[in-house]
Amino acid sequence: MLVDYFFPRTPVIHGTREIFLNWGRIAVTFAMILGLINLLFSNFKKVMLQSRGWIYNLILLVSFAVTFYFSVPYHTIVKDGAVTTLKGTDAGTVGFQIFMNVYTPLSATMFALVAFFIASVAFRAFRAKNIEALLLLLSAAVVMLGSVPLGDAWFAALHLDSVFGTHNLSWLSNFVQSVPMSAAQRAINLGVAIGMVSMSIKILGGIDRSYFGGE
Amino acid sequence: MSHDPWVWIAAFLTLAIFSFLYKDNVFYKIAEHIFVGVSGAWLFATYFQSDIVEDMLMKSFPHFFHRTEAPNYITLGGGVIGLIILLRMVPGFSWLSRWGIAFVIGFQTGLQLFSAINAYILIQVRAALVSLFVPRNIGLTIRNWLQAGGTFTSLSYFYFSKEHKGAFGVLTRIGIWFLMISFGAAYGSTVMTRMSILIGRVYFLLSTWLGVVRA
Amino acid sequence: MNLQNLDRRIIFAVLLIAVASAFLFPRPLHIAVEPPVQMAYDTLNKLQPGDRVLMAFDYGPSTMPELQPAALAILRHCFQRKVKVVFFTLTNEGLPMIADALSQVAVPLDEKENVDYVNLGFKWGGLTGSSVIEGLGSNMQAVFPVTIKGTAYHDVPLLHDVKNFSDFKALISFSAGTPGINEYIQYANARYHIPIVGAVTKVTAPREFPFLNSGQLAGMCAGLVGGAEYEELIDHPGFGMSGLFALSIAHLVVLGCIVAANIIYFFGRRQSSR
Repeated sequence: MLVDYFFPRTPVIHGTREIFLNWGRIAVTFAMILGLINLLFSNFKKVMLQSRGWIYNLILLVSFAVTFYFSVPYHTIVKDGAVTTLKGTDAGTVGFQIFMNVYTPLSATMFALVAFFIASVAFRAFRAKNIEALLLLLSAAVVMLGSVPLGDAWFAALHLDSVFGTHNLSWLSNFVQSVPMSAAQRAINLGVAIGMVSMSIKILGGIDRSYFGGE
Repeated sequence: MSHDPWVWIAAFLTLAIFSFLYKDNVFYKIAEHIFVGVSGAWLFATYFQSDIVEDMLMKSFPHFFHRTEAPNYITLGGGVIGLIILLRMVPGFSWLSRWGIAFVIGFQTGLQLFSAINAYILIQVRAALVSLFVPRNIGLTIRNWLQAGGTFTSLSYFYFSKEHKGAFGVLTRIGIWFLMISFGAAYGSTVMTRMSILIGRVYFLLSTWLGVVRA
Repeated sequence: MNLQNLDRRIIFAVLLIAVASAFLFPRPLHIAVEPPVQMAYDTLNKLQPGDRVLMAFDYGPSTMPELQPAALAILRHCFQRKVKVVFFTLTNEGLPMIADALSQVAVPLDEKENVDYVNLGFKWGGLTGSSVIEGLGSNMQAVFPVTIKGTAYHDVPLLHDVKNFSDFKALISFSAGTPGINEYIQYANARYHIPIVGAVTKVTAPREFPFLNSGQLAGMCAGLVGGAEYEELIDHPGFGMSGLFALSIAHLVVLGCIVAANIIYFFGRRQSSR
C-alpha cells in the first residue's frame, strides 16, 4: 500500500495492491460477521439458560431470524437474454419493507430521544459561571438562532442589524463558524491527525500490538 | 389516517421508543431488542450480498451466476483470510486469527498513512498560513489574524510540556476562548441535528400516520 | 417546587407540544442562503450536460430528515442540468436512501436507468471505507463488477468508458459520519484530486469548515437548513423548507431553557447570599 505511492505505474506493485484491496474488503466483512456471531451466541446462551429477561433475548433472535429469512436471498436469473439479480434487500421486497418500516422508525426515534435530553440538560446544567462558559453559551446561541430564519427576523425586529451594518444574525453565525470555530477545529484536527500518523507508524513498526487484544 | 399496516407498525414502534421518556417499560425494551435483531440481520444480508457473493464468489465462479467473465480464483484469498479471522471462535486455533487481523490492520494502516499526512496535515497547515496584512482590505486582514491566531493559540493550549504561565499562559488562555467558541458552536450544531431528527419523527406521526398535517 | 430540580418530563412535554404545534400551525419562512451552500450550488452549476458525477449516499434513517432534503435537491439540480449520476454507498443503510431518492426524483423526471443514472449499490470497505475509495480511484469495475440489479459493469452504457475518478467531474457525498466526507477528502481528493461537494449533518459540520476554507471541499450543505437553502436555490421547496418553522421553534425552546435556567440560578444565588 505504501510502496504504491512511490511506484504507482509499476504493474506488479499496482496489481498486487488491487488484489490486496479486494482481499481487504472481503476480510473486513468476515470480521463484521464475527461480531454478529458473537452477538447471536450471547443471546442464544441467555435464552437457553433462561436468565433474567430472556424473553427479550428471544425476541431479538426471532426478529433476527425473520429479517434474515426475507433479506438474505440472492438469485441470479436470465431474463430476455440479460442477467438480473433478485435480492431480499431490493426495493419493494418484504426485507426492504422491514427495513423501512421497522428498522427506520426504531433507529430514527432512538436518535430523536436525545433531543429531549439535550433540552433537559440545557435547563439543568448550562450555567454561565465564568467567561469561558459564557463564550460557549453565546456562541451556541448565535449558531442556533443564526441558522434559522426566525433568528434573522428577531434581529431585524430588535433593530440589532443596524449595529453590524448591513450584516444580520445569519452573517454573524456564518462568521463564527468559518473563522474562530474553524481555527480551533483546525487545531484539533491537526492534533488528531498527528496522533493518527504516530499510531500508524507504531503499528507498522510492530511497537503497538494492542489490536491483538491483551498483548 | 393511514390504512397501510406497515405505517401502523412503524407508528407503534415509534411510540414504543418515545414511551421511554415517561419511564422505562416493557414496550421500549421489546422495541429495543427488535431493533438490534433487525439491524443485525440487515447488516449480514447486505454485507453477504455485496462483498462475499459479488466481490468473491461471483468473480471466482462466474458460470454459477450466468456470467461470461473468466474466473478469477485469486479473490478466494480474501475468503481464506476471512475464515482465518473466524477461527478466533475455535478454541485451540484462535491464535491463527491474529494473522488475519494483522493483514487487515496492516493494509488499512498502509492505505491511510500517506493520505492522512497529505489531507489532514500538509494541506491544513498550508491553509493556516494566511497573509496577516492584506492591503486596502481591513476586513480580510482581521479575518486572517483571527484564523491564524486562533489556530496557533488553540494548538498551544495542547502543548503540556511547558507550564501554562506568563506570556505562554496568556496565549493558552486565548486558545481556550477559541476552543470554547468552537465547542459552543458544536453544541448549537448538535442541538440542530437532534431537533431535525425529532422533527422528522413528529412529521411522520402527524402527516404519514395520522394525516392531520398535509404532506 | 424547586425550579432548579424541575421534573424533566415537563421539559419533554413542552418540547413535544412546541414541535407538534409548529406543524399544526405552520408559518412560511424565507431563508437566506449561506456561502457554503452557495459554493456547492455554483460548483454543480458549472457542470455541462453529459458530465458525470458520483453520488455517495452514506447515511441512514436516523439522519434522513437532515440529509434527504439536500440529497433530493442536489439530485434534482443534477438532472436539470442533464448531468449523468452514478450512485453508490459505503454503508448498508444507504441502499434504501438511494432507492427513496430515485423514486422521488428520477422516476417523476423520467430519467433512464443505465443511461442517465446507474445505481452501483453498497460495498463495505471497512470502518473507513478506504479500500473501496482507493479502489474507485484506480479501477471502478474491480470494486463494483455489477450494478445493484445485477447488470454487468461493461453492459452499462453510462459506464462504457469509465475507469476511475478521473472520468468524473465531482464526487457528491451525503454523509452522517464515518465512512463519509472526511474519507473522501483523505483518499479521493488528496490523491486523485476529484472535487468534493458535501452535505453533512449539522453535528459534523464544524469539523468540515477547515476543509471548506482550505479548498479541499468545494461546497457544503449542513443539516436540514442547508437542504432548505439548496431547495431555495433550485426553487423547489420540499421537506427542508417545511421543517424550518418547527426547527426554529425547537431552537427557541432550548434557548428558553438555557436562559430560564440561568435566571433561576443567578436569582437563587442572590437570594442565598442575602
